[in-house]
Formats: sequence, structure tokens, C-alpha cells
Amino acid sequence: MSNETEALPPVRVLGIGSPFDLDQIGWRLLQALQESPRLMPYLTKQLVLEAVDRPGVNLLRYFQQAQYVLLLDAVLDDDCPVGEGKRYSIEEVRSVQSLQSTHGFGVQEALSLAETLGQLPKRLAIFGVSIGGAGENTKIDWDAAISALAVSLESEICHICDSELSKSVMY
Amino acid sequence: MTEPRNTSIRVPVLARVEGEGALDLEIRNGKIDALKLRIFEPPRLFEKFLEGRAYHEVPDIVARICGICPVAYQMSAVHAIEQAFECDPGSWVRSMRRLLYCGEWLESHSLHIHLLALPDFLGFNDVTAMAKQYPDEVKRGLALQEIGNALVRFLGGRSVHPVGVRVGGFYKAPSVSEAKALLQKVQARLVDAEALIRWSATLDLPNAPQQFVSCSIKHATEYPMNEGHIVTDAGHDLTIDKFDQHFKEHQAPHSTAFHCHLDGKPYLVGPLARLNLNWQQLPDSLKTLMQECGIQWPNTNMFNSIVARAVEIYYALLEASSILENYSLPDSPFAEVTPKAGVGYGCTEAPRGMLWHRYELNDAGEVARAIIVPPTSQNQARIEQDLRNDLLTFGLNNSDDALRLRAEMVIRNYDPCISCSTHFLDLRVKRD
Repeated sequence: MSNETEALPPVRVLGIGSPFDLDQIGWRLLQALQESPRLMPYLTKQLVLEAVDRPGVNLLRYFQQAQYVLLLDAVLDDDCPVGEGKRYSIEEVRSVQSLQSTHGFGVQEALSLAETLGQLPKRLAIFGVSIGGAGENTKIDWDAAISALAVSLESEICHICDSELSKSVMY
Repeated sequence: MTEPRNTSIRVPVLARVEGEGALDLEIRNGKIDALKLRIFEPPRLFEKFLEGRAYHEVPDIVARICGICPVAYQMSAVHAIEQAFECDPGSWVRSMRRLLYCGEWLESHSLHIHLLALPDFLGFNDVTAMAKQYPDEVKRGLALQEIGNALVRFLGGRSVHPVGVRVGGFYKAPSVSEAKALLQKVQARLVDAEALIRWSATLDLPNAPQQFVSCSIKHATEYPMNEGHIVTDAGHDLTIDKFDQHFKEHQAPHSTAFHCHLDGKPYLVGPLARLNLNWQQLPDSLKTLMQECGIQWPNTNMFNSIVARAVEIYYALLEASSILENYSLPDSPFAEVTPKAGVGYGCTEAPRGMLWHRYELNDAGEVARAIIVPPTSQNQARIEQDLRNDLLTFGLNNSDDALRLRAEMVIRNYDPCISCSTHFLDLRVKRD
């Protein structure tokens, strides 16, 4: 997190993760987006794509003066096939397990605190990539899965950057 | 009259601490039969990882020991290596290291006070619940934490696991305009820090004084961070190379982290110990503020650790402001070092207390042997001693839930970093 967040562009896509095993999936998806030629024209002024390592309460800094924040994270979700992505509401995030946190303060806790303090961004989207349920041991081509997920997100991010940002709350 | 209870209390995972540990408590005939702070996080073997590594790799490797106090590990390491190489990095580097440390104290203390400790004292399960009733106080805490992060970014490039530190100084000197902008932000937070001290002094903290030995480094002219002698209120005054003559680590069967004793006994390191031994070094303005609030040092109530952290937050802001006001670009942000065989020692004040390093280096500047004694290892025996005393005073006939909460509160006073030390709480209480 080398940037001063107040100077960040209004559309912020954050890949959340840690170096441990499949908890890197949020980072890998973010990296795929960073390599996307379609998104490059938006970088610097409208869009930032940043990988963050178990941000804990520091996640709230990225919400300051943000118009739109998209969080990418690995999730354990028995209802979502491994390797596929799923949108979550804040309420749903509370019941889904994230993998790593600092001081037991992870994404769920950061979102709850931001909500309580009225510091959620104007628009927030949470995109989880299922890495399996408890005890599941599914073989999967993660490179292919991540490429497909990145393509599916590109159009949405381009649209967000192009369009007049809605002031309505989406979460 | 209530019959003495026999019970076994188990806290399987201690919440709101860094790392993984547990507490087992056995009560027999109304007395504590066994009390073990079990640290089961696997050993992380950093001392072995360092062997064979070049001196210039050390600051970045040791920074990975802790996500909360990486600066402390970097500072103790570079001081030790520079001592071995007989390198004096000069006054600019010395000031900037102090500034960097201010950032880490601000970040770590603010996190601990607001996210970890305050919910205990205000009767909430966590900070989110607390924020519903105390939103302004939580926002203030987050702002103080953020200015600490900003200070670490200023010199370290990033706030987590900073990469700006090298043996001899820093890779890059920030610009004067960056320093000016940061100074404004630091000064804007002084009012928050003062308010935090005043508020912390009004908290209804348990009054549970105990006897213990305080230990910290001490400097002749300033509040200790990077340099000084090791002193205690039991009369010790040691140069840092004499540490292992009095301090001995040993393996406790229930802990993957070493216990460290001073002359065979537990002792305290950390903000409360620092203030007990160094409060006279604080600026007059801060002494006046403490006096107005009725805050006095030395203090033997461990629950006042939260007040101690608030005082050090204000001090760190004052110190950072002073350093930034006088900021100028150096000819070089580092001194060149020439590797040579030797032994070097570093001892600095991490947010949680004294952090001692010893390195043996060969002619090529490669690490032959490294010893790292983190503050949580030093406090472990003291935590167990505190728990025994405090739970007896609190009353063993309290319910298991009440004992569990009290034990967690006692442990959290130390802000233990178990990940650092393995190199929290599953409390099991057994009553027979």
C-alpha cells in the first residue's frame, strides 16, 4: 500500500490476499486485470488496480473519497463451484469465511466497521472467487479460471469508468 | 459462605491478539493448581533463515517477522550490524530512524488501544460494537493509526513490511516538500492525541497493582527508542552487549516460544515499563498534561498500560513534529559500510518492549549466527505471573466466563505478538 489513498483515482479495484496457498487468488485475479489492454487507458486518472496484503482496518482508507470500490478475494463457499466467482452483499460476507486476517480483523470486520462508522464507499462490489468448501480437494486449472474471471470483470470495470457514476448506493 | 470451586477453564483461541495461543487454568480446592499460557504457533525459524545470508539482506528478512512492528526488527538489526562493521551512519540517519520509529509506535499503539483493548474496558465484544456507541473515538483512533502508517511510508516506502531501510541508513531521502506536507498532517493530529490522553485518564480501569520489575533501555538525553543502556528498577544498568549475562532464554514445555528471565525471574518490558523508567525524559508540555489528568509514573497497575500507550502516542507525534520541522536533504541518505568479521548487538524499543539482536558476521559480511529476543518472549513469564496474582485477587469463585474474560483482559494488556514470539486465547479451566 504505497499510495496515499486520498490521491487515488475514484474507481478502485483491490485484490485482497496473502502469500498462503490459494489465498493468493485475489492477487492473481488482480494481476490478470493489470495485464488487460482494455483497462490500461483508464489507469492513473480514473482507475487504480492494487493488490493488498491482509489490510485489516486499513481497508477503510481505500474507501475514503472513492466513487466505486470492487473487492476481489478468495472465499470458502460451499454453494459456489470452485474456480467460479460470485457477488456478495455485505450481509452475505458476514457468513462467508475469508482465509487470513491480522489480529482476527479481516474483510468482514473491516466492512462492518466501515458500515457502522458511515465510511463505506458510494458504491461497493464484493467479488469472491470460490477456492473450495471445507475438506474439498478439487483439481482445477487456475490459470484458465482466472483468465475467464478477468474477462468477465473487464467490461464491467470499463463501463464503470466510462459512465457517469451513479449516486445510488449499490450494496 | 461459598464453597471453594474446582474447575478447569479453557480459552481455545485468544481473540484480539496477533498469533495463536491459548490459556489452560486448573483450579483445585479454590487455588490455582496450574496456569499455562500455551503458545502453539509453530516455530518460525528466522534465526536459522538468516544464517548464510548477506548483511544487506537482513533488514528485509527480519521485517517479515512481524506485520505490526517490522521497523523494530529492522532497527535492532541495522544497529547490530553497524556496530559489528564499526559504521557510524551520522546524525541525519539517526534522526530519520527515530522518525520511522515514531510512525511504528503510533500505528501499533493506536491499533491496540482502539481495536484490541478498549472493547474490554468499555464492555463490548469488539470494535464494531463499540463504534456504535463511540464512533468519534474510533474514528480518532483510526486517524492516529493512519498518521503512523504515513510516517512509516515516508521513509519505508510502504506501511507494511517497509523496504526503505538499509544497513548504513536509507535507500532514499524523501523530498523537503514531502516532509512539509507530512509535518502538517502530524501537527493536525496533536489535538486528537491530547484528547485521547484526557479520555484514557477517565476510563474506569481495574485497580490491581502488583509488584514487578520494569525493564527498558535508557538514554541520557531522550526518551528511549533506538539507543541506550538496559536498565531496570531493580538497579541493573547494562550495556547492551551484557544482555546475555543477566537475561536467559529457556524452553517451557507448553510454549513454542522461549521464556526469558532476568536473573532467574520474570520481568516486564513495554510501554508501562518504559514510562516507569523514563517518564522524566518526556517534554515538559506532556508532563503538564499528565499532571492535569492525574496520570502518575511509576505505576504498578498493568491495566494502566492503555494510558501508557496513549502517552507514547502523544510523545511520538511531538517527536515526529520536531524532527520534520528540522528536515533537510542529506548529502547521502546512507553511510557506506565495509563488511568485516565481528559480533554486533542491537537493542531498541519496539512498541511492545525491548527487542534485542546479536549477529556474528564473517569477513564477507555473511551472518554466521543470529539471536533475536523479542518482547513477547520476554513478557511471557511475567504474563503468567500476572495472571496468577490477578485472578486470585479477582476471585476464583467467579464464573468460568468471567474468569475467561478477565484472563483475556490481563493478557491483552501486554499486547502480545505471538507470531513474533515464536519464534492467543484458548483458556482451559479445570476444576477438580
